Amino acid sequence: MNDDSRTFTQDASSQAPHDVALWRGAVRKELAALPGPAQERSRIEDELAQMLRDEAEAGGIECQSPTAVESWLASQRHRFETLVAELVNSLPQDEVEASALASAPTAGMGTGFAILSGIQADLKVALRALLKRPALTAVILATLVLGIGLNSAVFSILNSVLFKPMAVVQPEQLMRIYSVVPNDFVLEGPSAAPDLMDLRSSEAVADLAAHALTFSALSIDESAEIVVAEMVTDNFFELLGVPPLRGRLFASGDQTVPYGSEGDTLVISAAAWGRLFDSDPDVVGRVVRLNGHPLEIVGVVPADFRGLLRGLEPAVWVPVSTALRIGATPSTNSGTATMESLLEDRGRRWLWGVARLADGLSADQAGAEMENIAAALKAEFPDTNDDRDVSIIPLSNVKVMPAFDSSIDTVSAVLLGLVFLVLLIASANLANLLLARALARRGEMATRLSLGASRSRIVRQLLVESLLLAALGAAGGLMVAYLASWLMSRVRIDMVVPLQVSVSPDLRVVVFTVLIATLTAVLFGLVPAIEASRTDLASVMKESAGRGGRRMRFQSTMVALQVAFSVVLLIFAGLALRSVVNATNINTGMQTAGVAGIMLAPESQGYEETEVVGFYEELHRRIEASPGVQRVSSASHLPLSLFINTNPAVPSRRAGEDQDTWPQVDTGSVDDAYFDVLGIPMLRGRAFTQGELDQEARVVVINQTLAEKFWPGEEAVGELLVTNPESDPYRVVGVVGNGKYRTLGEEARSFAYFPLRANTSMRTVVARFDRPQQATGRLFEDLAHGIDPHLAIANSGSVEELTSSSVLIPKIAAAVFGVLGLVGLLLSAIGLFGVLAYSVSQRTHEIGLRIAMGASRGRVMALVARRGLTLVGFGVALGTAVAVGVTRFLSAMLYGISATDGLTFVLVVVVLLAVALIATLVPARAALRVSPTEALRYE
Amino acid sequence: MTKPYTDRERKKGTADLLVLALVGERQRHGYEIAKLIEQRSGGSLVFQVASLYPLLYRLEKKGLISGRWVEKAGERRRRFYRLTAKGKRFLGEERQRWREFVEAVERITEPELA
Repeated sequence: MNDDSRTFTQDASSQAPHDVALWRGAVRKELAALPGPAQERSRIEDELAQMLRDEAEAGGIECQSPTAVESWLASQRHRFETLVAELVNSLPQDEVEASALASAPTAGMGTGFAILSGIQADLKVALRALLKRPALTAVILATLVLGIGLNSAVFSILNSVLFKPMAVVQPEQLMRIYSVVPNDFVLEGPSAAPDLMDLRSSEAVADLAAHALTFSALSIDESAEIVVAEMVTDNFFELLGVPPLRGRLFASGDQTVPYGSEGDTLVISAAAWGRLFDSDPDVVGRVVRLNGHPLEIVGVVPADFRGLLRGLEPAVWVPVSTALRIGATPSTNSGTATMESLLEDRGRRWLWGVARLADGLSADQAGAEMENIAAALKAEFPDTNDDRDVSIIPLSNVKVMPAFDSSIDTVSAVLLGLVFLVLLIASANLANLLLARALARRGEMATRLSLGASRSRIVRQLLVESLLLAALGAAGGLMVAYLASWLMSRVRIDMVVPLQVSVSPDLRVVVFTVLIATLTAVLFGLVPAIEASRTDLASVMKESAGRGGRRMRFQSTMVALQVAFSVVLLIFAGLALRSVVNATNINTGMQTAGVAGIMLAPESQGYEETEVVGFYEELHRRIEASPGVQRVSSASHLPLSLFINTNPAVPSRRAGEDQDTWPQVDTGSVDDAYFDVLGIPMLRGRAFTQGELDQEARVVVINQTLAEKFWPGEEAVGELLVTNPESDPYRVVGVVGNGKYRTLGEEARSFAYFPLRANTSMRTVVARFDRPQQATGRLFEDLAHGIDPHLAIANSGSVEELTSSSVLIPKIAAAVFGVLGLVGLLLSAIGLFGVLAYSVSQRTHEIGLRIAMGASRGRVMALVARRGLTLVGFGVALGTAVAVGVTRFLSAMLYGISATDGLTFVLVVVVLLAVALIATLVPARAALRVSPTEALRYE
Repeated sequence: MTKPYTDRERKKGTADLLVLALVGERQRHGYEIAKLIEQRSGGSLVFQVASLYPLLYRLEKKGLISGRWVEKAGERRRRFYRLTAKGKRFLGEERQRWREFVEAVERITEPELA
């Protein structure tokens, strides 16, 4: 016997000989196996304790200590078994089901099975509690699904593009090979073909393959389009371990130089097979034309392999030498080069290398080996390899290429951060709801606590509830993610080459969704649960008099934070939206209404120079003959279409300066009608003449910025512009108005127009129509196909459409921020409404009293509204402060608007206050309906 | 009309009848009921509280009796049971059935009076 128990015995006997609690405790132990809700059990224990005590007393049995009571009850134990069995039969069946709740503290915690069945009971109770208030549950689930779904959708997209492991065999053995130029902007770049062949001979690699992207015209029967094509070495698929879905993929054979033992073949992606061939089972063996040359399809690549450059999904793969022979130019090679120079010149670095390490070799060992080879190459070929090193990086550590990866990571992180903000707003609603519910049941909690249920037991029950909500939220969220992915995969961004990203949620998306849902549930369910479990009987009794101050504080903080987050999101959205408006209103220096055009490059489809000339002459004639056409023009490219040509240039008086110091000027080639068709004002001088175009005369038209820069305060017309010290200068014949050339947000930029040569293959042909509705891309496509049905069309449409990529980024940003902002606003309004409605219901008594005492309706409404608007005020102030701090990170993508634009801030605040006012007025009106008599009878 | 008893029902019904009859006189608390059964049966019927309680609980759940906590001055708080209207009807029927049963038994077991 220790001191404690002796003290207890003495206390018990000195205060009351047969202390009720003593009997109750002993009876409870005997009834541990009894199921049933806490209330019912407590009643049974109470009654039995009383009767047993009577019986023991009457029998003169000594029962003054816990030990004595227990031993007496133990002597009756054989009766208790029957008693429990009898009682169970008498209990209503649903009460038995929900029983484990109360029995757990003594009987349930011991075994894992008991805990499991306890949780099962918790789940049943939780489900019943949720179903009891279907409307509220629906609202909370909707916000959860929205919040979780948004996160899952964004993660799903990022995952598909960036994180998903590549579908290759043993990816841990695969290394990317980069050629490194110290101090260059792009540190890890492509490699030269012969260098890769030398690295391939290393003992460190089992094999090495290479690939490079190219844009090519793919013609199938009558139709043609520009696609992303990838030229690969013959061993590419073999090395990666990609099996064919149909037919076969390229095979290396025994070639020492794997650049084209394959001949005129190509393989197509699963996506291209579906989209272009309707998944035709007999696609293998069909002949298509790539750049006008017939190639035979030998196989289909499985859907889960989309090339090694994430986000750029090739539609076709072609052997390197085949691609070069049919005139495909690798996107990594600037300028023109012969096939021989691309394959043999160590100065031309255009191939991306990928190696599979020899068995048992680590990346570090292989790296050291490759550095030796690079050092040997330096010594052997000092002219080309002097400043070059080799860098090998595990494939799994590279997203697109090392130079881009960090900015891709940043953008992903910002996007995930923003959607997470929305989830936080949704979660705040969840927390508030759970807290309100938990505290509405505080009587039950207190009874359970007083009956000996542990606090952890009660927290568990509440957590099970929030986990159940989270599970439902996760399920809904996944559906949203799948829906978003389905939509995303159907979006094709029409640029020069239609970009498409296949998004397919996988296990990682599921895991991510479950993780954030669980996190949400635990974080936002735990606070209310702990708060509710703090309840003790005394405070519950007092609760009816006052209000739970702590819990109102918690809820209010949540709402203020929600409002703050929403303000930030809405300000982002507002700025992005106004940017788009500004961008579309920016003066591009052109009058483009009623102007449309088409982008073509027939040379890439095998046209000879004379054929190119003939084709465009015919196209011009046919367009001119079409109804409504005023005038037709050709240019090398349109401004704002992502094509940038630059040339060093100086006025003739500075021609003696070092050529390295000559400024770079943006250039384009245009014909005589260009300025007229595009509505670019001729300020001085004139446009080119047909004669100048025919003779390829050395004349130039410059924009105002260039004129003022090179000939400040002078007349530029008639002056000479030098672009190359070795060739004749160009005489300025005209000065035209400024425009936007690269981006809408750019500062005034110099631009020089040169005469378009008749044999220029890659062109945009534009025409001005009488009426804007006549200006469609369709007409141009039909006319071009009327001349050559197999011609691939890069792009067509109105000038706005052809230059739409210039507003793509602000439009995407506005859409993303707009959606996030609206969702955030909606969720905050729900949260605000919920908190105020709850506060009104809590203050029914007080409000009723006030009305009874003669308070005017206005005063009562003001009472409620003041509370809501104070919360909103705090939130708005906080959100605005945060927004001022963070919007500057957006400034790079804003057009003609400051990151702290006052009007946007004010508008957002006004919108938010308006929504808040509505969310406030509904509960405030409800307060007016409180009937004084009812309110005072309450309790 | 009353239905005849099955064997199981009779055992249960007998105990029920005892309790209902005792509570029908006036409201009583649990141990008192157990004690009265013992006294009036002259000690031939003994119900321990632990055996009696499920019976009381069941009768209350069925709505035949109803209990309430009563605290009398100088006495401890106890739960007192009384007969409900439904209980009264049920007790009447039970008594009738019991009488029929006893009469049947008597007719068979008593020697016929000459």
